[in-house]
Amino acid sequence: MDNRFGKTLLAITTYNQLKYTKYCVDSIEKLNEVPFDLMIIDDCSTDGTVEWCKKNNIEVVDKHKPMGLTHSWNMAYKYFKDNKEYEYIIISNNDVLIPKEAISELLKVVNRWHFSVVVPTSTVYGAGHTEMYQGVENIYKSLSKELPKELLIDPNNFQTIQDQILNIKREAIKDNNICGLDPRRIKLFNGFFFLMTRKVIEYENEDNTLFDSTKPIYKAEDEFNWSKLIPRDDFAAVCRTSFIYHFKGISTENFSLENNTIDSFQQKRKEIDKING
Amino acid sequence: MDNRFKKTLLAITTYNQLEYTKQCIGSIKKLDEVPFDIIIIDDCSSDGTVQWCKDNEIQIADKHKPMGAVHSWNVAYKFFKHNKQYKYLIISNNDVLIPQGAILELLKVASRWPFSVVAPLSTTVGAGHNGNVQGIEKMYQNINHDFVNDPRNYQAVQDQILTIKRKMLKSNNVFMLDPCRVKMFNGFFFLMTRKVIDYEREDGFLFDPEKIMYKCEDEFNWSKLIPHNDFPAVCKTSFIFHFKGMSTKKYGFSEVGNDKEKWKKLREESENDQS
Repeated sequence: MDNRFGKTLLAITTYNQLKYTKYCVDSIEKLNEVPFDLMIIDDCSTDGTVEWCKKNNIEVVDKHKPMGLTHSWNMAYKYFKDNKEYEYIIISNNDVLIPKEAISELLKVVNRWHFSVVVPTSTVYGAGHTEMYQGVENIYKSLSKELPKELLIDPNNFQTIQDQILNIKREAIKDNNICGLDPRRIKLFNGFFFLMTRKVIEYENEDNTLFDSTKPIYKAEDEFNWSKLIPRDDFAAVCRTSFIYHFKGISTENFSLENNTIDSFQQKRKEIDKING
Repeated sequence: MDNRFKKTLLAITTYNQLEYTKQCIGSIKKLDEVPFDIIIIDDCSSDGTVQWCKDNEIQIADKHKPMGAVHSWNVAYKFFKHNKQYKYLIISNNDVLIPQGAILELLKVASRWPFSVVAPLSTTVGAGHNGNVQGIEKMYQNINHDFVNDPRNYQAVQDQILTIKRKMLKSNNVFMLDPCRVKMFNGFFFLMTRKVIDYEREDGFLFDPEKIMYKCEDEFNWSKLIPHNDFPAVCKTSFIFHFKGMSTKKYGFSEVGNDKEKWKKLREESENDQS
């Protein structure tokens, strides 16, 4: 256990897809490198997610009615803000697999480089619209250290991929070439997984939220434009030595909104919940 | 005057080439954006450099016998170390022109980012062996090559960079001008913070006293001087015009490397020549 770092709050947002939540929590249970607490924020799942969490003694926050992903993010943020024992918060989708060392790499970057938001890499597919910066294939190709394609397509390899990245890092340190693995600031990032420091509290909105509560889902590129949330000289940065496997699209599958408004969101949810039964 | 930043010591190393020193001082006299003091470290010039500095009331440290550029760097470092009012040290050749704004940009990077050494851009020619990283033509592909390579434009080049930076800020693209860490840099001009004091070899020696001139790429490999996780960084918004090779070109000094005997012989020859 690396005790150099203060405690992290790891907040996972869920809406159904319990199967993926189970995979995700499985990966989290193996983590032991840094101190953290796990919390699940559920947006009125109908598939027993809340009951499963309670049965497994996982701290879970549920809601009376569906309020969307952004609302869950703001709940996680408020809990983090009010509990000063946490120095960092990670907000994550439930369709990810977190290998050992991925979080400690993020913590190292955030400490050494004074960024207030840091994101990991993922596969090009998992990083979605920001694959140029977060796609592990693109990053390591540009460093002439390609990671084998067969390795990256299989979620079972999530720990092996992180281990291989750390091997590349060790080699780079040995050859005095670590600069290529330095974090890079970016304008946009994919919001499946991101770490923030307490510095972001300075950037909250007037209603004590951090994320725009009129938007139920942060989904389009434009809305992930971090510069809209925090002052433009404090962009988020990509940590190139941290890898998170992201199945992608699982939590929002068949869930496109005509307008990114609460009304349109709740209408859609009613339809979906009716079908699910 | 931007008073966010504490005082900088600007140390210029000289060995003859007084004409360049005069041009350099001419550019420095116009700087007013941040507080700094200037000191010239002379390695026994025979062309009146010391006298000229004294006549012009420029602080100067001279030596009894020639000891090489690295020795001058250590003299500057020692002065910086013992005068705690200085938060930053810039070590510079005398064959440079420093535009307004260039030092401020370096200070912004050194205070925002966790770097203890920051180097500016120059022309590809001026950045020599590190032209790919520090060469302004490589960094800003649309910039006119003839324009940047004309020393008379040194201030206009810096102004252009700052205009580009303002545009990038406005369009939320300023991250593209973020500094990047580098393994080596060209030592014609570099800024250090007091953090480098942690890395000194023995009291007052930051640079290897066995070396006479830091010249070859290998010797500019900063990782030999300070721990590998604290590489220097290049600030992409600071430009210094560097004539290059002026302090070492004549009499074949550029061929010396770190051969002490050869260097001594060349120094003697050049002294005899001039007297």
